[in-house]
Amino acid sequence: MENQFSIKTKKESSIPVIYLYGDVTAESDELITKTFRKLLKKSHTKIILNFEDVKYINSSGMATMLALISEKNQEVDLKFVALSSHFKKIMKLVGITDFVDTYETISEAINN
Amino acid sequence: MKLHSITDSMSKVIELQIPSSLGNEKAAMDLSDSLTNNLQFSKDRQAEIKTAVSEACINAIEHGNKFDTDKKVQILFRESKKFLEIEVIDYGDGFLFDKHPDQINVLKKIESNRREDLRGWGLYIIKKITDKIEAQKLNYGYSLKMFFKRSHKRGY
Repeated sequence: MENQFSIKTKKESSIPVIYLYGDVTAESDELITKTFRKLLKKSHTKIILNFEDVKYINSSGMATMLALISEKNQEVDLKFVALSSHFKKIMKLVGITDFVDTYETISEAINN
Repeated sequence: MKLHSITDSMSKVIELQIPSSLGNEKAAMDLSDSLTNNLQFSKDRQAEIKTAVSEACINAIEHGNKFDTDKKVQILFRESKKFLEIEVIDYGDGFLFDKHPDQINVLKKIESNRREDLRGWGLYIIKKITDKIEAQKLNYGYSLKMFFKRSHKRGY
């Protein structure tokens, strides 16, 4: 029933972008966390998550996002790109958007 | 997975049963989407209702039926003039619904640095999205009823 989850990491203007594909649920937690931790070790000051190809995020997925916020230090800017208006609303409801800026495009996230 | 439709003089009822493993909630979400579309809920409200259905089913699968695939989660969609009512029934003992907080301090959760503290948003999201909610212990399990006004105006 779940869309197979996968991740691709690519640098855009020297900033790492994590592209998420599929459902963000408990199943995707390990891969997202592992990828994020690898990038944290490389001392990036900005990390972008792209949600363009995500059609489903449940409360476990929200918990994963909070875990990323919890694990990063204050010097790292975490930015979310291409969230649907609904996911943005749910993230606001949970309080995630108090800690993460959201943008429509990757270039907006890079330049802000 | 089983799907039934019953129409009586008062309302139309559609029943879906799903096995208790994660991922099956998507069948209930798809049905919710189709029904709310037919009932002409706005696109935004359709997405919210689908999220509430998903979270209620996940709670039932995880906490109610404890991933026992022999136990089904029953989902009943009832249409009335004023509401779309969605009831999710599992075989669990239920939860202290009234004790569940209406507000959660997310900063406190983040600062705790314990991953398990970051979970548990399902019921909170459901409470924020629904217009009315009722939880009830049954002889054989637990029922959570979520009500969505057909002329929804409130936001969150």
